Amino acid sequence: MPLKNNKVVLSDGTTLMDITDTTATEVDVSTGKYFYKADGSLVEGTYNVDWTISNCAYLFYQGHRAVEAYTEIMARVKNPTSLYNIFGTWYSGSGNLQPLPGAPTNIVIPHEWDLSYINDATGFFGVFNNNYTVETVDFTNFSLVIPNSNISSMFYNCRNLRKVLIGNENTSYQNVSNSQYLFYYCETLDEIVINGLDVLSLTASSALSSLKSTCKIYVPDTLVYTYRTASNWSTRASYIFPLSEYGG
Amino acid sequence: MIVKEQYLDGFIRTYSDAGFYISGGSPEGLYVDAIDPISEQREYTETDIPIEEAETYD
Repeated sequence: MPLKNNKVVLSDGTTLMDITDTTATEVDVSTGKYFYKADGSLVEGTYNVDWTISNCAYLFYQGHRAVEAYTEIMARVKNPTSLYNIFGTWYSGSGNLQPLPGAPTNIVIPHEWDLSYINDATGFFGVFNNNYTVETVDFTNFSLVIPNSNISSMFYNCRNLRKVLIGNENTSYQNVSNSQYLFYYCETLDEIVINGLDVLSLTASSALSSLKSTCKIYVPDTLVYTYRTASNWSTRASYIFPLSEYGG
Repeated sequence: MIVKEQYLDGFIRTYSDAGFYISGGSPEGLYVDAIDPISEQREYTETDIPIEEAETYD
């Protein structure tokens, strides 16, 4: 069964569900056992389709797929073109929202993901928006190639987040144009580790509001002073430390 | 119009009272609002770019 333009196509030419339609819930990605046609009818049988997924917007939205098949789906991602809200809205209950049982609490964005394929300025918007489940995030392969990128709400309202690692020694943040609400309501954060060639611009004070006063921020040794005096970072100056002091 | 107000001890918060981005800061760029150490004496100019409402999803 060939894969054409991210659509699964049968030998009779019938196009099954477009697997880049990540808002669809009908595709059983956990086993590859069956697919639904676009009209909703089931195509029965076992298919060993070697599919990949590139448009990851909403891929794990609301967490159901993460509970069912996180590892397998993550392995299917290749050259992602968008991570918009990919891990957004992971909680259970109503009112007093709680972590989503069974969903991963430690997320590593695989280094195999080539983020130079992100083709939209909002491709990093709300990556972990309203995720009440995740506790640690390793986003050390973070890179921004699209000018005027909007990374706002990337960690908006992550109520159990404790540690974030973002960027590496080659990461440049010069393409950031909007970082509003970056860590908004991340009240449990203990450590933010930011590596990179330059300073991640905080385009609004909301980016760090609600952070607890003792949250430690580690930045490259050569940029410590720049961060400590940077706009919207400076109120945290006494908790900004050199990466060389980071204990891991 | 640019508004400057004292923020905590030793800081200045700057924003536009007309809902526009302000330009300046460190790193230099467009800001919704900016909190800077008074000692840095940063100046901002008001742009004509309206601040869009940020999206969030439940």
